[in-house]
Amino acid sequence: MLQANNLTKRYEDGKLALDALNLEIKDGEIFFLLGANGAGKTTTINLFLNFIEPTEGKVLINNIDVTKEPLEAKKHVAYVSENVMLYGDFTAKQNIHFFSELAGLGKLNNEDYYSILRRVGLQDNAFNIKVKTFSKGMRQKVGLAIAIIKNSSNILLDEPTSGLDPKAAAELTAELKELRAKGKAILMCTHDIFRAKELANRVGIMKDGRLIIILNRDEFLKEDLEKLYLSYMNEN
Amino acid sequence: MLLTIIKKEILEGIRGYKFTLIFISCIILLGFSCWVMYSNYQKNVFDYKLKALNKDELIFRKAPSVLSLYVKGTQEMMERSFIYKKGDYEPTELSIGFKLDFFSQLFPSLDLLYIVKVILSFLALIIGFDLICGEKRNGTLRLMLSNSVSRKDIILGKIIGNYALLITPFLISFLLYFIIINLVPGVKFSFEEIIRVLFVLLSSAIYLLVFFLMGVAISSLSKTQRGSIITCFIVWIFFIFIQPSFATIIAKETQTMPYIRKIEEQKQLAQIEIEKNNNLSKDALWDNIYDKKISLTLGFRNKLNSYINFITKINMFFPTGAYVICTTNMAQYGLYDEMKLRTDLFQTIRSIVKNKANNSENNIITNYSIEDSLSNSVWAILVLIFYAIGLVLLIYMVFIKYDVR
Ligand SMILES: Nc1ncnc2c1ncn2[C@@H]1O[C@H](COP(=O)(O)OP(=O)(O)OP(=O)(O)O)[C@@H](O)[C@H]1O
Ligand SMILES: [Mg+2]
Repeated sequence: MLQANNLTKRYEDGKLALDALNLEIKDGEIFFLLGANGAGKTTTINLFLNFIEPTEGKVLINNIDVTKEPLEAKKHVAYVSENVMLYGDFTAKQNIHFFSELAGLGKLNNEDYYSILRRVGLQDNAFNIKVKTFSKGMRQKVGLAIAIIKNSSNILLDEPTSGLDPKAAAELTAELKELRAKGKAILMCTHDIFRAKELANRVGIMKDGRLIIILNRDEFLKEDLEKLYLSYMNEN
Repeated sequence: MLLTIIKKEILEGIRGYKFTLIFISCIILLGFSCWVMYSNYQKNVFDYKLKALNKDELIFRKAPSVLSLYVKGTQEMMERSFIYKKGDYEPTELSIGFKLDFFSQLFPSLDLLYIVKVILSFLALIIGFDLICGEKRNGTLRLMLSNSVSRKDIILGKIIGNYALLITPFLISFLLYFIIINLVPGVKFSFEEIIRVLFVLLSSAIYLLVFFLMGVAISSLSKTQRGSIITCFIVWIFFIFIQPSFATIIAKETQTMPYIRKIEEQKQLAQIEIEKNNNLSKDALWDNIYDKKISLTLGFRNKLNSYINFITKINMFFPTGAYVICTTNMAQYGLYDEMKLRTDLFQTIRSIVKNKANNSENNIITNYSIEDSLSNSVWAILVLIFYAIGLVLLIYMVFIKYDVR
C-alpha cells in the first residue's frame, strides 16, 4: 500500500512542485497519475523513494514512514524509471543478477534470471550481450525485469512506456495486469491516456503540483477520459 | 550488501579501460624502472670497488644498497667518493663517482618513488574522478538507491572495490619484478632490507589511496564529469609540482640559507689570518688552521641541517612531501641519512687527523637502524593516514546528502 498524506514539496529555489497531495493506493490496484510536463509526477516518485525530503507531510509504504525508515520502506517497493539506465559493460543477465543481490534476494540461478527476462519479452539471444548495445526499449524491459524479480508489494513506474514499440507496450500492459492480479499496489505516472483507459483502476489528474481530481474506473469510462483530462487542463 | 557492491565495482572496473590502463602502466613502468635502476646500481657497485690510486689517499664511500633499486633519494649526494689526501684539511668530493654519466643527470631518475609519486598518483585520481558523478550521470545510482541499501554501503563499496582495482596491478607488477631482480646474481636483500621495502610499499599504497580518495571527493563535489576531470588535473599539478617548490620558497623567504661559497671564503680568510702569525711551529699552525676550518664547516653544517629540517617539516604536511620523506627514510636515502653520513665522515676524518692514524678502512659509514628510520618516518606516515581518514569522512558527508536526481 502506498500513501501520501498532505505531501508537499517546495524546492530550494522556491518552486512549489507538489502541493498537499493526499493519495492512497491499495494492494491489487493500479493508479494512474496523469499530468502535463512539470506537473509534479516525478517529484512524487522521488518522494516515495526518499531521493528528496518532503517539505511537509508524510509518505508511507506499507505503513512505514519513508522519511524515518527509508531502508525498511524501500524493501517493499520496486521502481522503473522513465529511461532505465543500466551498467553498459554488464550483460542483461549480469545487471539483473547485481540488482537482485542488491534487493536482498537469496541465491538465484541463471534460469531464474532467464525466465524473468523472457517474461518481459527480451529475446533469448540478448541475455548475454552487453547492455550498452541495447535499444531503449530493450533496456526498459530489463528495468521491468529488475522490478519484477524483486517481488515487492508496491511498484512505482515513471513513464515506463515512453519509447516502447506497440508490441512491447502491450506486453508491459499484460505484465502489469498480472502483477495487479498478484495483489501489488502500482503507481504509474504517465501522459498515456490510452493505457490509463485500458488498465487503470483509478486515475488522478495533476496540475501544477496539485491533484485536482481522482476518477474511478466507471467515472472515466462513462465519459471520454481524454476530454475530461483536457477540460481539467484548460480550467483556470 | 557491502560485499555485493564491492564485487560489482570490481567486475565493472575490470571490464573498463581504466583498469587496462593501470595494469599496462604498472607492468611497463615498474619493469623499465627496475631495469634502469639495476644498471645504475651495477655502476655504483663497480665504482665502490675501485681502490685509491695513491698510497696517501683515503677513499670514503658508502656502499650502494639494494634499496637504491627502488628509491634514489639522496643517493647521488651520499654515494660520492670522498677522497682525503694526507696533509689536506678536508676531503674533496667527486660528485659523480669515477664513471662519468652526464646524460642521466638531465632526466629524472625513474625510481619507484618517482613513478608512484608522479604517474600513478595521476592514475589514482583518474580512477576516482567519475566514481560518483559518473554513476549519477549513468542513472544507475537512482536504481541502486531505490533498493534497501544504505548510502554508506554504496560509498564504502565503491571506495574499497576501486581501490582494489588500483592497488592490485601495482602490487602484482611490483612482486613480479621483485622476484625477477632477486634472481639476478649479485642482488641480495637481507631480511631487514625486505622489511624496509615493505614499508616503502606500504607508504606507496597509502599515498595512492590518498590521491584516489581525492579523486572520489572531487567526483562527489562536481556537477559534471568534465568539471571533475579538470579539477583533478589542477589538484594533481598543485600537489606534485607546485606545493614542493612552495615549501622551498617559504624556507628561502623566512630562513637564512647558508651559502657554501661564503663559508669557503671565510675559511680561506681564516687560513691567511692564522698563517700571518708566524711564531707558531709548522705542526701547531696546521692544527690551528684545521681547528678553525672544522669549526666553520661544522657551523655551516648545523645551519644547513636546521634549514633542511625546516623544509622537511613544511613538506611533511602535504601528501607528496610526506610520501617522499617516509620512503626515502625507509630506504636509507633520506635527508637525515645524508646528514648522518656527513657527520660520520667528518668524525672519522677528524679522528684520523687527530690520532695521526693511518687506517684506510674504506667504509666508515654506519646506517640508521630500522628503528631510527621508522622514527624518522612515522610522522609522515601518520600524516598520510590522517589525509586518508579525513578524505573518507569528507566523501561520506558529501555523499550522504548527495542529490541523486
Ligand atoms: N531540483 C529541482 N529544483 C527546482 N525545481 C524543480 C526541481 N526538480 C523539478 N522541479 C520543478 O518541479 C516541477 C515538477 O517537476 P516534475 O519533474 O515532478 O514534473 P513531471 O510531472 O515529472 O514532468 P514530466 O512529465 O515532464 O516528467 C517542475 O516545474 C520542475 O521544473
Ligand atoms: Mg517526470
